[in-house]
Amino acid sequence: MLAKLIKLDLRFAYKQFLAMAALLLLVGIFGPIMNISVLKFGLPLIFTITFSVIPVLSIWLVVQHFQRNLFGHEGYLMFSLPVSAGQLLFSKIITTVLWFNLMLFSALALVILLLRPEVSLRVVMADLLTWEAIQTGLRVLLLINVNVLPLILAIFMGIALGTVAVRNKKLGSFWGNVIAIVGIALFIWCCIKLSAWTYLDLTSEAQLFISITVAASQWLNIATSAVFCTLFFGVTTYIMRHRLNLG
Amino acid sequence: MSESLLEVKNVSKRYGQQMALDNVSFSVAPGHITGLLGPNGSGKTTMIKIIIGLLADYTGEVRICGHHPGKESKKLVSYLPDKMALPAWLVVREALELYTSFFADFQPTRAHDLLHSLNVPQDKRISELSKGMQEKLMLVLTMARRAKIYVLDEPLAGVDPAARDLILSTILDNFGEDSSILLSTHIISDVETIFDEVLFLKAGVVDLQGEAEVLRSQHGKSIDQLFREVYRC
Amino acid sequence: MTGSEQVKPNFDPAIPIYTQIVDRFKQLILSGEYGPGEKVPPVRELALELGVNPNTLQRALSELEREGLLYTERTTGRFVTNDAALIAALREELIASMVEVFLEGLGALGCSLADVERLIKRYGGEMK
Repeated sequence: MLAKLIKLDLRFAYKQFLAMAALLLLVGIFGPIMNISVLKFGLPLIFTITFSVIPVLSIWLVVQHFQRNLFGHEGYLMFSLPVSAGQLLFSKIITTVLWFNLMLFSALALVILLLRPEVSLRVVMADLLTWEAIQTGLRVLLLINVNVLPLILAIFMGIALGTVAVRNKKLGSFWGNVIAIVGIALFIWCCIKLSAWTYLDLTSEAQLFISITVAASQWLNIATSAVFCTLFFGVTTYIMRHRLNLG
Repeated sequence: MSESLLEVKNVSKRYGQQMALDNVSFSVAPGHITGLLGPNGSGKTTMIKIIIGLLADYTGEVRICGHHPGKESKKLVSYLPDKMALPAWLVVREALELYTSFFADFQPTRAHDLLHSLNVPQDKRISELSKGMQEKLMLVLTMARRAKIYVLDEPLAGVDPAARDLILSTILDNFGEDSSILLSTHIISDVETIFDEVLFLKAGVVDLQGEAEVLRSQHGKSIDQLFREVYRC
Repeated sequence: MTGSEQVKPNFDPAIPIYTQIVDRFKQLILSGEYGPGEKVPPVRELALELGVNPNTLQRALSELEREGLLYTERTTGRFVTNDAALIAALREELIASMVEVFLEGLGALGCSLADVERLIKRYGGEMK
């Protein structure tokens, strides 16, 4: 059943995400040709725009889809399927991770492609396809996913909580958003506290920065993320199971 | 089997100060057709949503073949909503595939034949169908399942009188042996002869309920006339 | 029984349907549309044709069975009785009640038996 749900969820959303990915690739391919070069805008700016705008945009799209599919008209279909609330949510999570990472890779591809006039593709590929680079890349990817997933789940939870207030929808979604933000803030706070705890010798800022990405705190980070994800997941499925108020 | 397919016990649903449903109780036996009657806003759709599982926040007990509304009950209940629940970009053929995939009791050949006899084109997208066609599609998808209980929310609303007979015979010709139907409607006159039992909901309260034939002989009136009296003014 | 293109009979929804079904069946048996020994369609199919609830139809058919006008053979289905005497008795019964209703009606309008005879001769001209 879960596999069927995932297939269905992919079907609902694939057009948007594939279109966005294609758009990014096109901008990357035609950008340098049309003289949108890195020299003009500066590498930091391009990086910032790409790696903040695109992730935020894809999270926004994912959240929109979640809201529309489960708590909008399509909810009548989704909730009459013979699947559990947990399965419904889990399917959304899996497709979310998929789309988010697709967007990340598209963003990376965009930057690499835009850098073509300055850094040849061949050089970039050679650098990237080393074992070290791939390992680092995977580690960074894991880090990003582990920390973004609780954020997204907190937003899902906020949306679900918001639907509990049937009479005053605006107030409900306001408080839902508040709780989501509180959840996210709590998670970030926990991460910072725990990572500081593993590195007791605060000799320099640089060391502090490095320690956050190194093994022990990485595991703590993953554990914290898992705990918060489970918490948000639990609350969301509880609402879907016992406080659902569709239509 | 004297065990009811559907049992509703003391179900209440409150929206703030308002009671959408107030202590509603009834049951549907196997092989029976029950009419859930009342004007718009009387609580029919609320009751149906609770049975289907679209509304989980209520007091009281609902059991479908012994299960609470949930994953197991959804395998046994075939639901016809009062609005289009399928995405507009879905092609009719794909809708059949969707139902085949998720519902073990769905019969694709029967659905295919029904769509053909109702002249619903299978290659068009749902958005390309007229509203009447869309309703026929939803009806076919619902009735092509061999479910234990069919819950139909206003299947005749918005259907012109000429097509009502067709809708009714599609329903009656296709529901499984020993399966039951819960049909909500505010259009009584064309349908009352098909009900075993009827239940009048008025502002969330059960105003009148019983076997249709018994009510007819007791009151000497048709269900339609009783309906008009109950909801006058 | 004739095919399902037949127009649905109009049952009066203000009176219990099952008695109307019973009466209708009796009429069909007497008129010969349901001949002796003829098979009755299955309940579901017949209910759909008549536009009535299958359980109500079932009750009516059981009633007719109780009266001996229909019988069920376990493996083959339901049939109209072959008992010509029973059908004749039914016919007598129905005629008697129709005449009673007729006479009651005219009596209520102030007709005497002689009036009735005269009226029958005048308006019954086409009958053999």
